[in-house]
Amino acid sequence: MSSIYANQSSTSSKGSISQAADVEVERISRSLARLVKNILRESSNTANKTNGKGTLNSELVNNAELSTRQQKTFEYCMRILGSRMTPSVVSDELHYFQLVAREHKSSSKALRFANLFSKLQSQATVTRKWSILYFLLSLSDQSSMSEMGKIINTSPLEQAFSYRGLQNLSNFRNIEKNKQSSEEEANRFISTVPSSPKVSTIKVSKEELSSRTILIKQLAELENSNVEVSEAMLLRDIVFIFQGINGQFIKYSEDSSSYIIDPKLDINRSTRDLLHRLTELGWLYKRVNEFVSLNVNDPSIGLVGQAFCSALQRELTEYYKFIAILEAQVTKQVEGQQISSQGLTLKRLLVWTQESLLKFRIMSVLVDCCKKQRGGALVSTIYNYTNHGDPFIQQFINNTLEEVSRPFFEMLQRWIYEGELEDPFEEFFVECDPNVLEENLWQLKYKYRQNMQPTFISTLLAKKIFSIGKSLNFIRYSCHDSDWVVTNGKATGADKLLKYGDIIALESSIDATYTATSQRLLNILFTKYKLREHLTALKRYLLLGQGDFIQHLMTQLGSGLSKPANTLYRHNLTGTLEAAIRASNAQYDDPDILRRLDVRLLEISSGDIGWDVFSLDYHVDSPINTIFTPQEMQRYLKLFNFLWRLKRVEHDLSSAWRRNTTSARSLYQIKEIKKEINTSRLVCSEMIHFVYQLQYYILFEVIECSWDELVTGINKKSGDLDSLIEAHNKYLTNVTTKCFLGTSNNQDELHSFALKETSIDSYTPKPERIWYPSLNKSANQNIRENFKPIQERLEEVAGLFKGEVVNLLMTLSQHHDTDLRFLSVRLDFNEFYQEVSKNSGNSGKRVIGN
Amino acid sequence: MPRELITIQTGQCGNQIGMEFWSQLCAEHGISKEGILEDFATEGGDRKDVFFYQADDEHYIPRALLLDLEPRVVINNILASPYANLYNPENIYLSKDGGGAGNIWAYGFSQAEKVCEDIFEMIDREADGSDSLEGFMLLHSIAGGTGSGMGSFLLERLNDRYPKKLITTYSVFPNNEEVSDVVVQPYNSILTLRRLTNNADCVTVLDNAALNRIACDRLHIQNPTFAQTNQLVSTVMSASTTTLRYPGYMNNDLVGMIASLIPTPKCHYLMTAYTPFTSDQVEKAKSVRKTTVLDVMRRLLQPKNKMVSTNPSKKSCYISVLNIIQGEADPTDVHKSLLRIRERRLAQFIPWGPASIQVALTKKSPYIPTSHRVSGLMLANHTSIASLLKRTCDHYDRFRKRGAFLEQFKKEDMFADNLEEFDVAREVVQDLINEYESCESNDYVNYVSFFFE
Repeated sequence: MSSIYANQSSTSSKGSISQAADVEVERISRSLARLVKNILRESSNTANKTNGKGTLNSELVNNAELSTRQQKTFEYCMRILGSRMTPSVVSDELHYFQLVAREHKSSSKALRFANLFSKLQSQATVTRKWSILYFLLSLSDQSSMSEMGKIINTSPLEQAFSYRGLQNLSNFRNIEKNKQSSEEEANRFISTVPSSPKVSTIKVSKEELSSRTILIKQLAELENSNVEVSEAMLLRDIVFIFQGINGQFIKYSEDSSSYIIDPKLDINRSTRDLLHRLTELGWLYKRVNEFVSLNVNDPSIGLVGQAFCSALQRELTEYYKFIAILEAQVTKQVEGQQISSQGLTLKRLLVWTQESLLKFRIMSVLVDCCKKQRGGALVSTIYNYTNHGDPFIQQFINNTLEEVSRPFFEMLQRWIYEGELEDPFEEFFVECDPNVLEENLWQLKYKYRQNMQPTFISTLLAKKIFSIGKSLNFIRYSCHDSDWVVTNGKATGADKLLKYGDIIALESSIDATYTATSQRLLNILFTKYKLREHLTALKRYLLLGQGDFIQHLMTQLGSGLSKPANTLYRHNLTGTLEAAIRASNAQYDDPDILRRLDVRLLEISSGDIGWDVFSLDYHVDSPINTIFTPQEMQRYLKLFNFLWRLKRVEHDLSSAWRRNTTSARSLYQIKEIKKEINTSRLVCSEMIHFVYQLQYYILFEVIECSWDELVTGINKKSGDLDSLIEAHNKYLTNVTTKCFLGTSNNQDELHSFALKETSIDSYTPKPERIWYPSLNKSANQNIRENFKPIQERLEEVAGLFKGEVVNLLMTLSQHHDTDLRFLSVRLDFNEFYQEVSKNSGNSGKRVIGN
Repeated sequence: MPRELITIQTGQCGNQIGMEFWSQLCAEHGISKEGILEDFATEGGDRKDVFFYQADDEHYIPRALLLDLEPRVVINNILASPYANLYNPENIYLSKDGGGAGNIWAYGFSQAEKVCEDIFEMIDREADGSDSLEGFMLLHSIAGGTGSGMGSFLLERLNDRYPKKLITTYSVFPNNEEVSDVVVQPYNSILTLRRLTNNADCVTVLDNAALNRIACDRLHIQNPTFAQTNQLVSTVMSASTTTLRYPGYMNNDLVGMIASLIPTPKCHYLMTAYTPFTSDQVEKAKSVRKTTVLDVMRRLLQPKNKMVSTNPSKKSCYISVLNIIQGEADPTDVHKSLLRIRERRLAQFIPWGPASIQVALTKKSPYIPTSHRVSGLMLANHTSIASLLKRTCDHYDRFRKRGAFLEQFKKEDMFADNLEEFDVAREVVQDLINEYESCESNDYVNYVSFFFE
């Protein structure tokens, strides 16, 4: 509107001039001719001077040229003056006064200007005071813009703009008048810009003249269309849009979520296109700003999110400064009713805003993909963009990332140096469950949040970081050594500041901390909490390594355990346990370890006898129960149960053998059953062989080898508690699987099989037990008949046993585990059973005794 | 409950072996010659109470009875040695008249009968002093008079008195190839073998011929003295008891150890092999070589390392084998060694039942430095022992046919009326030979001895 009004007012004033006095025109044309003449002469003189020694001839030619040029320039100036081209600005002196005053930063100059202004105002003869001021302002603009032009010298486009801008500026209507009030401005202008506006105006080339006429034509056309708009108006709109505010002609449309240019606006395609390109920045700004204003005060976005917002905010502030400059420029131009040469055009704006546009594009992308992200994930998302090929973008992202990751690194630092988890918004990749008891501190209290792990930290490093903090907490709370944590944290953490950007330094400092912490933790466990001793104790007692102790226990408990389980009393059993400790080499063991050794009665179900429910137990407390977890202890108990049964079979078989051997002398006399006795001995020895070989296998191939591995692992002392737990776990897994206690089907089969074996084994001595008393009594002729059922029983058991062994060997020899395959070799070292299975395959049943 | 073993050493040979044995045990357990625990012996892990008990003054006393009918020779030597104060003086029995057995089995037997009560008072005292007596260990030679005669008597009586206890013996067999100064040695041997077969549960055969051979070949001693061969014996004895003295997973008591070795009660003659033999006295024997489990186990199967001279036939086979490996053995090596031995068929086993090489890894005494990392002892029940028995029988048969040197025996009541005792003994040994031979075939499962005592 304002521009239309300005145009109208200018036309109306022009009309009055033409009517009022032709004298006036006459006067102007005369003075103009004089001015042109003077200026051109002056310029040709200076040109000659710069050329060096010009000859007389050339001077004459020059004079002829000069007169034609004078004529042309005069005509051109007259045409300009006659045209209706006026800057679309408000004609208000005061406003211009303020604008000019703003240009003067030093107060003395401003004061002087104010004085001059008041003088000007008091002169009644000067009618268009605002024009004078506007001219002055434009001049000063020109000077500052050309300074700018020097700075941005690199772009030739820019220079072209500014050159044409100069031309546009030349409005000489008030040149004489301004001389009195603006010598200072003019001086400054001339000193800074060697090619003065007067000179440049005169140097107008033909092409420019023609473009000039086109522009004039266009302007004329604009006047005729329904909505006519100047570039300055559009610029102002654009600046509004840059700030997310709807402009006069360009408005944001929610429907298409884009800026729409008023279709009524009569502008050509290229300008329209230019406008569209410019609105992108506004659109991006709108998005970013929306995100920031939405989240900046929302605590739920988390610290990292807030850091992100503040990084964006900082960028926005930068942007606002830039916009302020633009705005000032635009406002000036609008009010000055002209498109100043040093001022803005749409194209120039497009160039100037390139950098901001790029930044906003990145920001908008970041905003988009970070919308739902928090904490480490957000950092990761941003980090993903650091691999951008454009160094500018890379730099920008890195700067942003440094800021965004700051809260993350603060958390990290506290975590690895103090073990404190300061993460109110759950943004760190370590999670703490405050409900978990201290006992489960290592396993359960801290969880690893995969999605919050920033991608610039490798998983390996993240695991280390996770482990460091956990170790610190473990040392502090479970090992009660907070002093070390505090002093160490101060010593190592004080001088370091972790931040994004130097990943190598980060890695090395984390590695160092990791090693120190893990070492410390393992040291505490091995020295203060005697981990090695506990491992040995478990092997010695629960895995039956301390043979004499186990033997004593077995002998003492033997008879009692054959009774029904509900007749057992724990205190009796503990008494026996203590006696067994005292009587064996176990007595020399650490009292602390012996204290932990205990008897445990498993759950009694009906029909159980003592053997079924008896178990040794080993008490572990914090912190070593982190390694010996209830699950692991369960496995130890399971192993004990199996080995104990096996030992029982061995024990029974040994007693049977002893009876066999010591009674041999009396049995020799009973000639009738010699053969049967021989058979029973062979069966017995076969079983002994089986059980012994099984035990040797378990001892060497299973326990000792796995133990060896474990000890080597421990001695290396590398890694953290987790690797220790893992080594121990592996050890137990090895032992359990190879003792058929694994979980896979095949091994279940083996396990149940082995148990069956043991039950059969423990069975067999019984017929013999029945045997001897009966034998002693019955040295009569009927002995064979009395003996028959026992003999049958024996044969049955022997056949069953052999069959089972053959089956077991078959299964074993096909097993994938080499150690288990080797067991079959061990059990059938002299290929006896191979023969048996061959024979049974050919000729049916063939067992001992037939 | 240490499963104590009471050692009874009889005769010249038995006491000499015994002396070496005890000094070896003392060294291994860090017990001084006076029976006092050395200051350095703090490592623990060993069980001293199987073979020793402690007096009121903490002094370690061997559970040993030193018996001899001929005092001047050996026991006096012992009493003059630095180990004099080690033994319980009450456990030393010396014949009052000091006449000795004169190398005649019958003298030894009958004299032992006379002093039976004195001796059993000592044995009972020792047995009562132990918590859970596992059995007795008899050290003797079967050739002389006291060791064989008195030993035989004790075997019979121990059987009656302690029917549930195991009796193991370390019996030194004479060198049949050489002319012995004991002319009646075949008689003594056959009579003792009867008791060893019927009254003992486990006999570890130590063959003087083989011991001499090993001393010559391995230790490079041309004419080994008894002291030197006895050192070999004591090494074997101490090695064979390591599993009892250093408890581990298995073989912690005597039963556990021999149950797997002796499937049928009669075939209870074990031979031994040991490697590597080194001697600090002899320069050539100091050879140190790399010892691994495989290395040791392979050597143990070689005849030259066996401490019994047998003539194995093609059919001879192992009934059972137990290798006791001492030192820093790698448990994983056991596995490899067994596979290798099986692949190469380095050992032949019985066809009638499962049999394999058992391996026990034990600690080595920390107090005795050795130049080799691993050493091994093999205890094996091998059918070729029959050839040794056969040789003894052949000698006996030759003597008997001629009726040579029988006068000395006939002086005793046992042989006064007839020589049936000899015949029975000969039959018992023959029956044993037969049983060993039948072990070599599949028919052993149906074996019935038709010999009735």
